[in-house]
Order: sequence, then C-alpha cells, then structure tokens
Amino acid sequence: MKTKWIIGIIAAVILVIVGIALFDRSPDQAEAGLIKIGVVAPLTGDTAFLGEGVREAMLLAKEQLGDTEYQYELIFEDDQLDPKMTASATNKLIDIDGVDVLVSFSSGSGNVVAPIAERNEIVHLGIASDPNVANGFYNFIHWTPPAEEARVFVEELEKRNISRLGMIVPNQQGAVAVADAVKERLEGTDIEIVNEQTINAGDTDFRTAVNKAKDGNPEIYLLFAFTPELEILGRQMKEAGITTPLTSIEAFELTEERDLFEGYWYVNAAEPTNEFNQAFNSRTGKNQTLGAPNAYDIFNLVVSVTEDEPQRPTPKDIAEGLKDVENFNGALGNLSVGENDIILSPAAVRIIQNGQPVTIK
Amino acid sequence: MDIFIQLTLNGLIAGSIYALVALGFNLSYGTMRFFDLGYSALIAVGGYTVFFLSRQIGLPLPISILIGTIMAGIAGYIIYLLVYVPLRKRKASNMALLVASLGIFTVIQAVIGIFFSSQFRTLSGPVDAERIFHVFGGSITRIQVIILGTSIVVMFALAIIFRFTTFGKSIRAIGDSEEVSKIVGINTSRIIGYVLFIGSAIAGLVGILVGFDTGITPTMGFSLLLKGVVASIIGGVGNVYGGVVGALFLGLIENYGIWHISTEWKDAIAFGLLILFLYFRPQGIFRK
Amino acid sequence: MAYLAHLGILISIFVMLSMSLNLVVGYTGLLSVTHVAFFGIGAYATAILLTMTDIGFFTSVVVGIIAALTSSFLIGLILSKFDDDFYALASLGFNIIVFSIFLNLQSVTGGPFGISGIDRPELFGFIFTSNVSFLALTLIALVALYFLSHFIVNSSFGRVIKAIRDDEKALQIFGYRTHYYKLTIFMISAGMAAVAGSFFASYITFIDPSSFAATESVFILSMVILGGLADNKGAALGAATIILLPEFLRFVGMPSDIAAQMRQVIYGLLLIVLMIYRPQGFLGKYRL
Repeated sequence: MKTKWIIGIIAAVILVIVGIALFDRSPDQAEAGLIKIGVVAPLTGDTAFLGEGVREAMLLAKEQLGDTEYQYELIFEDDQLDPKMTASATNKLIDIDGVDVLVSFSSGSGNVVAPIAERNEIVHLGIASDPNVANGFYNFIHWTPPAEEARVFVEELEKRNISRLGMIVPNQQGAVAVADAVKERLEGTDIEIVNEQTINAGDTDFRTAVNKAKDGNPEIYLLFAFTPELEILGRQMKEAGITTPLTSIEAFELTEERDLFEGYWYVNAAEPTNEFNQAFNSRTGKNQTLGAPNAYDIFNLVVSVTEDEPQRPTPKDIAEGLKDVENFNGALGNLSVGENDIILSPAAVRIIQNGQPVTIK
Repeated sequence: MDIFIQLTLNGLIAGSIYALVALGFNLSYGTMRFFDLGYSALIAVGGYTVFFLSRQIGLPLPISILIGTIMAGIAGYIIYLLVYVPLRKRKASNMALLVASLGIFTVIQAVIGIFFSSQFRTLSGPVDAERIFHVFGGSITRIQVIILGTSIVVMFALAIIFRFTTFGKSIRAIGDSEEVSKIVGINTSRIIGYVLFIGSAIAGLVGILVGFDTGITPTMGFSLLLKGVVASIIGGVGNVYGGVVGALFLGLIENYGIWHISTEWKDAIAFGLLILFLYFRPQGIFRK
Repeated sequence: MAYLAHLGILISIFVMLSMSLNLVVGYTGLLSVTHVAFFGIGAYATAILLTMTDIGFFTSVVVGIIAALTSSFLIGLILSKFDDDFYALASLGFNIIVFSIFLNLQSVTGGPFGISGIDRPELFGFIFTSNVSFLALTLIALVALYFLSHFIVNSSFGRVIKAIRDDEKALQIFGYRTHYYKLTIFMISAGMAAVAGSFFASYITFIDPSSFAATESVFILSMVILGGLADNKGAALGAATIILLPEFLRFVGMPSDIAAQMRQVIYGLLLIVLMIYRPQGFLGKYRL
C-alpha cells in the first residue's frame, strides 16, 4: 500500500518535470523578430481586479499597434502579490519563455523581480513607488515618485492657504511611502499635520479612527487609502458628520464611487489622456485601475525603443535605449527617463466634477 | 466627553454585530461541540444573496432580505447533511471536523468569487439618503440602530426558545449529553439539523446587515467569525447571554483600546484579550 | 533549469516547515496555527542582520533560531495549558498578534515596506547566487533537519510525545509533566521553522509581512494534513503537492480569471473528502 503511494508520487513528479522540460525553449532559439514581454501581476485572488486592469491596458496598447518592424508577444503570469509566487512567475518567464522584458506590479513584487532580472540581464520595468526597485542597470520604474506627488500636493495646499492638515493612512506600502514623502515636504512650511491616524488595511470598521481624526480641527483630510478602504472611509466620515473637505493622492481618480468625493480636489500622478481613459473604458466598461495607464505606457515605451534598433535588440540594447527616452508622448503625458532610471510624468492637480475627474488649469 | 460617547456607540455597534455572530455560533457549538469555520461562509451567502436579488434582479428589499436569510439557513442545513453527518457517523474528532469546516469555507468563498468576483461591494445606496440620528452628541445611522435592535431581538427570541419550548429543552439536553438524549428518545440528528438551520440563518442575517453597514466580500465572514468566537469564549462558550455580554465587552474594549493607542493595533488587542481569558478564565464570564 | 531549481528551493523550504509543524500537529496531536510566526521571526532575523550588519548568513540563522526559541518559549508557556480546539484558537490568536507586530513595528521590521536587498549566503568567499547552488545548500539543511526530526521522534522523548497525543491523562497519572514535553516539542518545531525562514529571506531577497499572515499558517497546516500526519515523507509530499499545484496550472491554461478560485475549490473539497475518508492524510499514521 505504502510503496504504491510512493511510486505514484515519484511518477507524478517525473511527469511534471518532463512536462516542464518539453516546454523549455532556451532563449537563443527564440524567433528572430519576436520580442517577448513577460508581465507578473495579480490575476487571481483579492487584488485580481488590479492585475486585470494592467492586462487589459497592455493588450489595448498591443491592439493599437500599427505596422511594426518586430513582432511583440505578451505573456502574463499570476503572482497574487505573494512574494514566493512572484519569484516562481519570474523564474518561469525567464527560464521557460525566454522573455526580453519583464513588467511587475507593486513595490513588493518589484523588489522580488528586480534582483532576478539584474542577475539574468533582462530588462525589468516596475510599476512601483519604492525607489529600490530601480536599482541596477536593467531595472526601471514607471511610477511618479512619491516625492513629486508630495511636491505638487504641498504647493496646492499653500496656494489654498491651508495650514492644518489631517491624514488617514492605511498600513500599506504605497500609502505609507507617499505619507512619508508628504511629511518630509512639509518640513519648513507653515502647514502642520494636526492629526494622523493609521488604519488597518483590510479592516472595515474605521469609526473610531474617524472620530479620533476630528481632534485638532483639520481644514482638510488627506486620505491615502485605495479601494475598498477609501470608499468605506468616505462613507464612515460622512456618517460621523464630518463635512471638512477630503483630498487624496491618486485615489479619487480610481474610485467607482465618485459621488462620495464630488467637488474635492486631489493630486494625480499625472494627467492621463482622455484618449486612454475612453479606450480603456470602452474596452472594459470600468474606470481605469491603479497602474493601468503605466502598464499601457510601458508597452509603448518598449516598442518605441526596439523599433529604433536596426537589428533585433538584446535586453542590453533595450535597457540602453530606455535610458535615453525623452519627451515620450504617453497615456500619462510627457514622459522622460530620469537619472535613477525612474520614468517621470508630471503630477497634476485634478478635481471630481459632476462625477468626472478633470484637471484644474 | 463627546468622543467617549461616540466610542461607546462604536463599541456597541461593533459589539452587537459580534453578538449576532456569537449567538449563531453558540447554537452550533452548543450542540455539535466543535469550532465550525464553515459558519463564516454562510455570512457571505446571506450578503451575496441579497446583493444578487436586490441589486442584479431588482426584487424589493424586504423580500430579498427574507430570502437571503433563509438561503443561508438552507445552505447550513445542506452542509450539515453532506459533511457533518457522515463525519459524525465516523466518530471524527473535533479537530477533523474543524479542518473539514475550513474546507467548506474555502469552497464556498471561492464559488462566490467565481460568480461575483472578489471585489468589494456595498448593499446600501448613497450616504445622504441614510438617516443619521444624534444621541447625546454622538451619531448613529439607521442601519446601525437596526443592527442593535436585531441583536437584542434575536437574543431574547433564543432565550425564550431555550427556556419555554420542548425544542429548546431538547437542544439543551443534547448540549449536556448527546448520548443520553438519544436514550431518552430525542431525535438528536433532526434537532441538530434544525439548530444549524437557525444558526446559519442568523449568520446570513449578519452578512446582510454588515453588507448594508459597510459592504461584502466573499471572505468577509472569516474575521467576523473569529471575533464572534472570541466573544463567546469571553462570555462563556455555549451560553446565550454569555455570548452577547462577551461580544459587547469585546466591542467596547476594542474601541476604548484604540482611543489612546494607534488604531492599527485593534486586532492585536482583541486576540490579546482572547489569550488572557483563555489563560485566566477559560470558562468565560458566565460559566460556573 | 533555473525554474526547476527555483521550484526545488521553494519545495525544500516548505518541506522544512511542514516537517517541523508535523512534530507538533502529527506527533504530539496539537493543532498549532501559529507556525509562520516563527518562520517570520527567522526570516526577519536574517533580513535585518544581513542588511544592517555583516555577520553573514550562517550566524543570522543561529540568531534566528535563538529568537524563535525565545518567543516560542513564551508563547508555548501559555499554549501548553490548552488542548484540542482551544489550542488551535489560542495559537491562531498568537499568529495574528505576531503578524500585527511585523506589520506595525515599522522601526524594526520596515512595516509594510518590508526589507529588500537581502544578500545570498556566502561561505569562504563563495556566494550562493545561482539557483542551483542555493538549491544544494537548501537540500543540505533539509536533510539535516530531516534526520534531526527523525531522531527526535524515535527517541524516548519522541515516544512520550506520541503518548501525550494518544492519552495525555494517562501519562499524567504516570507522573509525566506533560506541559514540559509539549513546550519542548513546540520550541524545537519553532527553531526548525526559523531555519526555513532564514533560507526564505535570503533566497527571495525581499520579505514583507504578507508572507507571515495567519492564512499562511493554515496553508502549511494543510500541507501536513494532506501529506500525512506523523509521517515526515508525508509532510514532504504534502508540501510538494501544494507548491506544485499552482505551478502546474500555469501550463494547463485554465481561464485565468477563475483559476485561483478553481484551485481553492479543489483544495477545499480535498480537505473535506480527506477528513471523511482518510483523516490521517495520504501517508499519515495518525488520525486527526
């Protein structure tokens, strides 16, 4: 009985290995004109809707492509934002598919992919706020750095003569990164953070935090949360009778419940073009999700760099090409690759007006 | 002073949600004597049934809520027949039952995810339509008043059933000893089935109420159940009033606790309290 | 090849975890749901020491083990008082508290940022950079832990813990202070989990709290239950199966929007069916 089990298991393991080996095509056998882009994103699990947005945006970019010198293939692998699955997906994309370019989503995943990409000399573009993700020759970030968003945000506060700021920060990487940048930027200004509340990401009862947030009488509340904490917060603040204006960095752009934030201004990482918004909306029936325009731009950036190469570029050529990008016209406006291999887009102040985000001129 | 009143209100609101969970959970624990994690999936069943009926099909709310509650009850009864009855026939230990109930939770939340996606949804409309009441300088919404009321009604209903009906007496007999109950002629299997139907319907109701208050996700029930279990242990496992008192106690401690400590430590406070109780008073507040 | 080596490393790390958990769950019969807490303590020890100091990987493993032994001593002191489902619940409570500390004690753990840029191990100038060399190192550690665990369960100590599992009361009558045995095996298991954590941190080169949430404890527990309680080969089989299942699905091409949910349905059903028909798991010797 027991030996049968063991034989069965060994047979199953061998089958899996053989199966994987059959799929294994080493990178140098790749077709001459084919550029492979591997994308690691959460396609299943609780954050799947974010990964879906990234995928739809990249497929949209590929469909809009006209005649090109080279062919492009997109391969998506799921990681559920779980570091061990990110490592699995990355290794699979490099080893089995032989991709030339990797794209990752979130700082956590980016931090896992970056060292693997560097070691294997594969270009990696992360949609991530943590600058560590861009460490090394092959690693890039396409995400407006928190410092840039904080700069525009603080300038807007000063312009509006606001001096007492309240902050509600979920304990999530992206949120804390931007919150830290805002605090740093506020040093030396007359603006004071009169109240700061940390909330648990994944919780749904923020009532006590909301009540504590009333202390110090802030003139405006800066909410760092994204869906779904953002909407729950918005509701519970209204229920608690808070009529103080709310603001956010990026989050209002992406909510499906814009009526909660009607009339409020906020800072967005960039000014997404209307063409992209409309194309994305008509394709998916949803508003753009976090990082979707970045993913769209990343695809087009890679294409623009490779199309300039007379011979099929190696990952090294692509990396060098990316470093020279200047004034690229993307879904997030005018893009240039900065010193630290971070692709910059100018942040913009926007407002929810009649349920639509518009830029304040 | 204002903030104290508001924190008390918040604690009572959170506590009455935990109380409902604890009431339902205690019913199942009182008869089957194991930690039924599958119970948490039924919370989502209630919430999503109402979401489907009222939001996607457009049935009137009261009918949707009624069907949602009954659906959760039926689901609980089916699980009992398909999984717990065969397990109990095989004299499975309560750890085996616990693991199987984890399997049930995993399956149901995944199936809900396939049909409705795992994105967060809310059952309520825009905030402005919601009535907000002011009590002693604190504010409370209509749905929260309903939650408070429901938990009180359910508690008294169960207390009356337990004390004055033969059905309630059989439940108590089974809780004391299933073997003896069988010998004196109680159809224990049928009674447990009914008990689970009622308990699961309460779970469904919790999912619906929470869905109106904040919102629903397929895994919403799990953290609620954990809090409900903590509440019933604090109050005394298997005791109707104990569960409610424990739940209100937990809700208040959680909210007073984060008055001066930062909010992110809320879960640590709740489970720290659990461990304190388990260690120093494992029988809970109410048990002798 | 790098991909296969990667899977080998991941499986080895999780075999260390399932094997160490098996000491507590399978051999001693205590349903512990706090195992990733010690996995995390090992991982954070290595991550912090390798990024802040230059004491090297192998010293950090020792520090991780000491940290895990210390914390498991404190937690175990309390846990050893309980058994059955109360043990499961209290241990889950500890996992939630430890996770809360990883997430919120930002000055030490980096909080939600996690810790990036963790070095690979270095021995006499050789750096285990490639996946294949790292796999070799991991396998050595795995084999060492396997023999350690084999030795423990076959020693006189091992016979006592198995007797605790089968009848703790009887053993107490014979004058055994079962608390100490439960505490000792819990600490040994925690120390082994910390080793796995060190390897994990150094291999992935980045850690954040998400890898150490209570759901991950359930994930490891299900490896043990699936593969076999009280059997080390079974624990290894369980870990390999659960790690390889999602990788296998990458090549099957299931519609990706329901793949994870389908995986969870399969996995949940598996737990239910196992508990009904084979509560000891594929290769196990002890029925839960």
